[in-house]
Amino acid sequence: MELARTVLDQQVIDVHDHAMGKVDGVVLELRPGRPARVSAIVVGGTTALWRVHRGLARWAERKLGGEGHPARIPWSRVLRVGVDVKVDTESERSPALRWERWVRDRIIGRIPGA
Amino acid sequence: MSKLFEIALGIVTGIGGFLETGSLATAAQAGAAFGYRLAWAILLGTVCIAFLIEMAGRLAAVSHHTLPDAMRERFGITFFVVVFAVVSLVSFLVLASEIGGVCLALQFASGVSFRWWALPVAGLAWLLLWKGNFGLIEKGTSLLGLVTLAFVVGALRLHPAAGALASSLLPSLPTHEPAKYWFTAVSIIGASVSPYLFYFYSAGAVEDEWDVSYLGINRLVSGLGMGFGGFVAVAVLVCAALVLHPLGIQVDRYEQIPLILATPLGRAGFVLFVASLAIACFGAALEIGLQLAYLAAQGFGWRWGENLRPREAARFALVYTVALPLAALVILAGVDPLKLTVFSMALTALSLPITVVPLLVLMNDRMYLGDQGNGWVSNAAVLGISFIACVVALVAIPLQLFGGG
Amino acid sequence: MATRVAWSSLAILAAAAVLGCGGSARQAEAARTVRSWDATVRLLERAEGSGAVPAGFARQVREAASQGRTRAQARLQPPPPRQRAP
Repeated sequence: MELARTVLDQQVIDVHDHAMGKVDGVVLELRPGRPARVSAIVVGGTTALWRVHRGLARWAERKLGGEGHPARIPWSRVLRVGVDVKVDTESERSPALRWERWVRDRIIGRIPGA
Repeated sequence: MSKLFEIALGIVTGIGGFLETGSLATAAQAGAAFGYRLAWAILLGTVCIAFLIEMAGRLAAVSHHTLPDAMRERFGITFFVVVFAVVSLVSFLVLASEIGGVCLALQFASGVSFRWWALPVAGLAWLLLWKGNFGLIEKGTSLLGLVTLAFVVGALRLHPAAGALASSLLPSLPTHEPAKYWFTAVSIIGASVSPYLFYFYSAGAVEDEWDVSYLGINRLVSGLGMGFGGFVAVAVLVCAALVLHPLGIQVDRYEQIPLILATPLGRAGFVLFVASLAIACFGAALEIGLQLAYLAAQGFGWRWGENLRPREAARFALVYTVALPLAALVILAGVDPLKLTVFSMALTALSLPITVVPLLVLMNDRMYLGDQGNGWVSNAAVLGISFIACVVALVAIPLQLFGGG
Repeated sequence: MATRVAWSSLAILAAAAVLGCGGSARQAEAARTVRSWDATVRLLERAEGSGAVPAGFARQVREAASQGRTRAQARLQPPPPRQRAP
């Protein structure tokens, strides 16, 4: 539990040290008779929005479909927790960077000199 | 040697970067309306911003976190969104004011109305950010910003009475027009303590990979840099106090302000004023455009960095690509740049507790600062100044907006 | 709760400001503005005479002065007494 509170809202970086979002949510595994355990971190999608405003999150999910496609990264792929949370993932293909790719391909990439 | 160079560069940045449309306009208004009397507000604002800059640098050097990053982590998303919204709004209005300042300088030089310069100016700023190489741009505008030292020359030419000026560094009660006096005081403080300054500084320190060995440099740079910067703002106030105040001229339009330098220095003074206004405001516009992008990227975990190509940090680039033209539209719409500037500065003062208190909490958190946390002096000074400024702004803004007296 | 208190105190202040700053303060302020613009033009003439400012800029200041002066003058004159219908 303490771990969940520590990593929540920390910066997530991928194997190449590229920023890929914040720890927007934490998946807890409830185990009977033993303390709950962090089983995954959630990055992107509407996850963070749920913590800001439920109505807004519900509206966004209707618009985007599903949970807005967050990336669930299993705790086994977390390499270290320090200033940032480093994970063993390629962010380039991760759904966490869906909007980054969208902005790059649709807007920024089309401007000369990008 | 290289550390000495960095200190020198930091101080130059402080001098060249301190003066922008906000501190220029508010200091000129204060000097014209009240003579030296409001010099204390510049001193108070300068002390406050020096402490804040030092803190933002120390946070970056010790914890390797930028300010938005640490805020998001420490206070969670909900609180961060509130701070994000307030800082973005205030910074956006200041950005529009700075673009307005550049446009006015171009109008004074060319005769073509400031409104028509808004889009070209924003376009040029965007191009510089887009093409990157910010280190060069920042150092370039800071070095060119030394032209603002012309105000010091102008002030000396006017032979200010040192004793009277020194005694006005202590706060005093107004003798006439109290509403205007307090409103001008808070807009001066708001102009000095613009949040973009310390957010920008913290991003720069992380980008330059500061560590604890930079703490000494950081202390010197923030203290001396801001100190000299405040000195230039006092020089503006002195010029206005000695040129406009004796004639009973109050500053209602920006067009009146160049006269404070043209009177003591002649045609050179006029040219130096126009150059100072254009360079100082353009440099500030670049910094604010970037700071808006830093704030969003660092708070929401996007890839950021001015040395990355735009397509490598697409959302980061998107922020300034949208913010600059949007701010230009405010000026193109014909909003009076002086009114916009002064109002933005007062609003900055009003929002100080929201922008400053989270930083103070972080600076006293051993998780981030270890044994490099704040002492009671810096805590008390920043907390005191920002709350007083906020309360005074809360009273003075409605009086100024609706009272007219 | 705290915000509501803040807002209501703000509203009271604003109302007080509107009611408190009556006609006389407004008139004094307008008169001061007119004098300020007249002095600005005199200062400008001196600067122009010594060649301190270019003619193009002087034109801009004069225009600002005439606009500001006219606006203040309008506030200075009391509004014409309303005609009562017979």
